[in-house]
Amino acid sequence: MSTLVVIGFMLIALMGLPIAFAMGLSSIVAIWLSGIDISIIPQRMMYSVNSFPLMAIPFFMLSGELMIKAGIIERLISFANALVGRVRGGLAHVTMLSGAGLATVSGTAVSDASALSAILVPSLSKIYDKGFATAIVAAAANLGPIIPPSAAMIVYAFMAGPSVSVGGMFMAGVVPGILITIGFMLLCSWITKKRGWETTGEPFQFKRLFIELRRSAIVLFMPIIIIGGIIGGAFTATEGSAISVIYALILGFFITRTLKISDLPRILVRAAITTAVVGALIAFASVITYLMTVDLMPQKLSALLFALTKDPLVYLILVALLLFVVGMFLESNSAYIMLVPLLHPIALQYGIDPLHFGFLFVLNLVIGMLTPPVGVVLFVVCGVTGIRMRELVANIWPFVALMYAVLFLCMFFPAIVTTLPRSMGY
Amino acid sequence: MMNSIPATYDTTTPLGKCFRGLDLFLIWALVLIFIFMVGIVSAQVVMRYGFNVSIDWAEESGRLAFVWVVFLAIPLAASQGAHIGINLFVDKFSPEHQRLIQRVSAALCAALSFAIAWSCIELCKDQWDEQMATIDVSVAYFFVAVGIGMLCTGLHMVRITITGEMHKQSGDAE
Repeated sequence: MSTLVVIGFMLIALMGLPIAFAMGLSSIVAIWLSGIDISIIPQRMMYSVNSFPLMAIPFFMLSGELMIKAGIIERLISFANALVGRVRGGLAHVTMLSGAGLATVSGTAVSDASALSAILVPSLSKIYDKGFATAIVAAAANLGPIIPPSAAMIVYAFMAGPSVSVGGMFMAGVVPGILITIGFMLLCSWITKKRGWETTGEPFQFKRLFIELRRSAIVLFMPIIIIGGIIGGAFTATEGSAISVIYALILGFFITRTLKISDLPRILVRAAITTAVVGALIAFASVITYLMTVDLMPQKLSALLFALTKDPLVYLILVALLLFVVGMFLESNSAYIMLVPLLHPIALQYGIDPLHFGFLFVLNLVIGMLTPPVGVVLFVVCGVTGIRMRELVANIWPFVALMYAVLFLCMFFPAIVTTLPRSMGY
Repeated sequence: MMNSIPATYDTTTPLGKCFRGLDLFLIWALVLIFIFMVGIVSAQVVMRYGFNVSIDWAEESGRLAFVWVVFLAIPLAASQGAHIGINLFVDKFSPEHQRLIQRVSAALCAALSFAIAWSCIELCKDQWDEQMATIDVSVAYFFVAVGIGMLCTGLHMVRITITGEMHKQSGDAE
């Protein structure tokens, strides 16, 4: 039955049907052929999204959008400019730090890519060529799902079950996120030096830095409260995300005063639609997961893999290869929803730390967002800036290579990922 | 509010007007439910730390609201072409063939949606007398959301089957 579902799903999906509905159609045919009551479909669908932790996804999306509308990017840019504006590749560094700062309040790469492209690419293009300017922005936006909070990590933790907590996943992303940010900045310095671009920006002044730090403190304070509250056990990830929405509303309405009541319906409906896209995938995938469980598919796959190798590292490399291929053709949320229930339990049987495996899984698919043909961040940056995909792709490869270097570093040295969350009791 | 989500289809025809009305109903419902969802979860934290009181029905009502948000937004996402799909192979066909494939796909999605909506009616009947743990409301309301959402999705898919409207699935949730 599982084989029928998988082949049916692939054929239907290739017809261009939405992936969620392709999963639904292949399962309804399998259910009908097996003589199972069709009412299992709405039951599985409803129970799969009837989840308090999942509510964090729309809330973090909403707070990210509200913060962007509240004008936090301008404050972050001014602060980053005061800090690193006057070094080689200064504006590229400013972009990276702004991306990292934005990642601490927003859990997604797409909204970050859209906001950073619109604001920073015009200035970056005056100093660097447009291909490199857009590549910097795309790379900076891709920090969104790596640095906490992260919608991708929430989806992973939800699909993986009780062995992985959202807080643990968030903390697992901190050190690699910092490593990638520093790596991106060093890469930008090297490329700007190699291509002979001039040093720009105003000279460094402590006074200016202090003023900008004070201006952006209200923004930088938010992740301290929200992430601090979550890891400190003051509230759950969902409660933290709801508080972040309230924080963003207060910031936008009363402090920066750039948010209007009329902006809210559009932002709310956009968050709802994005939630529905993920929700539909989770709901329909839960039916396939049910059919595969009935068919003992995870056990069969596990036995097959154990017959191939007993080495956990080989398993990690095999999964990375699989995700590399999957990430090129499938949007990342679909990949989490379809593959985590299959691959995560096997990783546990190999004795791999669940947070280590989880982070590598997320990072693999986040890198996939920067690789063609289905690199959603590339699409967003091209859409906003009008640059040709070929030009952007030609400049994005150094950043992708660096992310793969960090991925393999984390794969061979799990302590980079696990030390922080484990020391905090996760 | 009218322009919160611009329609991606012709709203000058009677059929288009009907669907625009349906979309606006869904948009209003989503905005209200979303506000409730944020409000109740935040209020739970404020009450717990500010007043040392816990709202025992906050989690269950929040989950109910979330299920409604997901299933009411699925038809809107369908009408916007926001659901994620693989167009790599379909794009190789001529526009006429692409339109035909789009119609067949939409018809299949409509059949699936109506089948799910239909089975929700039976589930609602079975569970109507069962109450939620913390609210005096039937658990069947969870399935009402699924049923309404899938019914509206089916209707949108019928519209796409009839009009042959082309959508690139471009949605992304990452």
